[in-house]
Amino acid sequence: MGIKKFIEDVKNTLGLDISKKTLKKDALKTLIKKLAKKIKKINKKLKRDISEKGKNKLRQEKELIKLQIKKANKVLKKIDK
Amino acid sequence: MVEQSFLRKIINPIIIVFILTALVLLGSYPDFSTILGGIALFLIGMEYMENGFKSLSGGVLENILKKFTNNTIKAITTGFFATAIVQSSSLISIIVISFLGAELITLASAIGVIFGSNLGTTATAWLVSFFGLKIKISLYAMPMLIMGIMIPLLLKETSYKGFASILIGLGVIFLGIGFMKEGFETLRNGIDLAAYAMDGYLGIFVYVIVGAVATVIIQSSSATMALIITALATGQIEYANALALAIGANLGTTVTAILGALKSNENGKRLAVAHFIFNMITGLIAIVFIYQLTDLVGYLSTIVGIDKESYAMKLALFHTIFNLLGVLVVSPFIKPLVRFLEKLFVPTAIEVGTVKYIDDAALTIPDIALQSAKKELRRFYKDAYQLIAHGINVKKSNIQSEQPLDNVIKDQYSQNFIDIDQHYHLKIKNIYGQIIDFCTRAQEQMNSEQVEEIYKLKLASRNIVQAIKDTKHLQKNIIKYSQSSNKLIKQEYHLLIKDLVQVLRELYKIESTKESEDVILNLSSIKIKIEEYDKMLNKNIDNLIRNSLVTHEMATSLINDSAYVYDIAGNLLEMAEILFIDENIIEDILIDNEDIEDYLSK
Repeated sequence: MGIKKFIEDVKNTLGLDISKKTLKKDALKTLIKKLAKKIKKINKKLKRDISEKGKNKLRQEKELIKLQIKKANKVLKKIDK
Repeated sequence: MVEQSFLRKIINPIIIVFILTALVLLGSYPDFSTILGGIALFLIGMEYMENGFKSLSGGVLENILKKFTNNTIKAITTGFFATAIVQSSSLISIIVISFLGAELITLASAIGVIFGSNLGTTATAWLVSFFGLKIKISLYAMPMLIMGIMIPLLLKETSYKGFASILIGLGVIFLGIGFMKEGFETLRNGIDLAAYAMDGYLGIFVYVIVGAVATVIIQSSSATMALIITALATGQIEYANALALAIGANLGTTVTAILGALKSNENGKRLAVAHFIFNMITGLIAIVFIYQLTDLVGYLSTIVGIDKESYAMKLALFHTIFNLLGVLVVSPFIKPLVRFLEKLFVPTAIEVGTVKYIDDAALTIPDIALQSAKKELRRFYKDAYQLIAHGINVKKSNIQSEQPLDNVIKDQYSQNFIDIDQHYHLKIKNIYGQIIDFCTRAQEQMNSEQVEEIYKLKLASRNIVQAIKDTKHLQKNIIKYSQSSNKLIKQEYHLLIKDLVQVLRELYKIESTKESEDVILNLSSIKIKIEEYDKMLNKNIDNLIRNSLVTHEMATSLINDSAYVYDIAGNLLEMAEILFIDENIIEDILIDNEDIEDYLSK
């Protein structure tokens, strides 16, 4: 086992070094999940009997969330490369 | 970075004095010279280990100290384990003082950690008595030193350098113990220090004082303990006197803490006094009950299988028992102690325009420096937010309410507009300067990732200041045109203020939101609104000019001021991205201008 791997193993065992990459990936995945939940909620609300103005507002919000999910997925792919 | 800090520490006068004295005595008293050299090596090793842990921990030590200190038992246990592992109570003290400064833990928890840390320092005695004397410890020093030197050459990452520093530190400590042992062994052939042994309470008092004075001189109770144990193991001092010396070492360390706290803020002083009280009470108990404790140590030694003649290990056990006794006796009184200390050291009221969270104590540990700077910046932002709100003559409380924006603008902050420049010089400028100064100095100890983060904080503070300066420019024409007889220009300026108030309201929502998805959605939503407003304003201005509804001067002012509002909003948004988004979610996550165009075209 090389020194580098040995040190890496020791650090992982002691929990001294959780890589930034893993932290970022986890944070992004959680974010995407939460955003998807928001879309579900909006879809439910849209099915209810509400004013057209209210519906428009919800649609705009949904568009923004979709855009944000797209962005997050893009960043996630970039990290994975 | 570790090396830089180490170099600064090695210029520590105490180490230099020990090295110089060792050199002077080398010819005439080689044994004493070896002992002094051993002490110097021990101290250097401790510095190396401390610096190594600082750069290796990557926030782990800080996170542990932050998370596992919410009650007294947890705080004591955490302080104990952290110090036993790191082998440096001063590192733990530095972290705890800076945590207190940044309000990351309570004073009660900090005191608990310090008590536990005191118990943790007894691990050194076990290390020295168990490993240092039974085996030829200096043999292990060489492989450690070689590995410690090779690692940074083979692996370039900073965290490995920290690991290497710890190895070097341990190696040098082992070498130091080896030298001390060797020095005492050869000294035995010439001078017999044991001839100065004293019996009874007089002996106890004299040796307690000697132990305390030695610790004050060496500035490390661990090094004094190593010295006592090696002297005891080589028969240079008697067991009973060694016990008194150990008590003295505990008392002496408080003098070091008090001296260190003289320059510190009230948090440092409170902790130093808590430490002092703890050690005094512990020392007093140990002195009064020294014979009973000695019997207890003898009894426990037979139970745990420590040899009758193994006085060094018995001393380590004594050291642990009386510190544990101190923790058990003093801990139940932490709450009244906190009340007493808070009365004793009342923080001086924070003057307007001065910083609250950033302190030199935080500079030595990069993660804490970052957190303190972030906290200060958030405070700075709140001051700036208020100044911007009042600058456009709007009440902050109204912005942060649910009132319609038109009502918010109508209910003015004061009859006359405030002087932004005056407030800037009084409340903002000094804090800004101190934040930049702190960040720049903190950078010296940081790795590249941390430097990037602290750089962002500097940018955010610049964004805040720029937003204030732009508000000052905007204010001139708000004053002028809000009184204008031209209803149209008055209306346009009303829209400009409304735009800014909307941004401030959204920022307040972001600041109060804990969920990262809401922060991101709100920020993106403001970005879109700013673009929409800007487009609408430009259309309006075009219309006003085309139809000659405003004068050229009014039109120019309106164009400039809409740009100011756009810039203020932009700067505040950039600041919010840095300050309010979870640091693990990278900035690319926010929508950019291209996305906004797409979104608006739908």
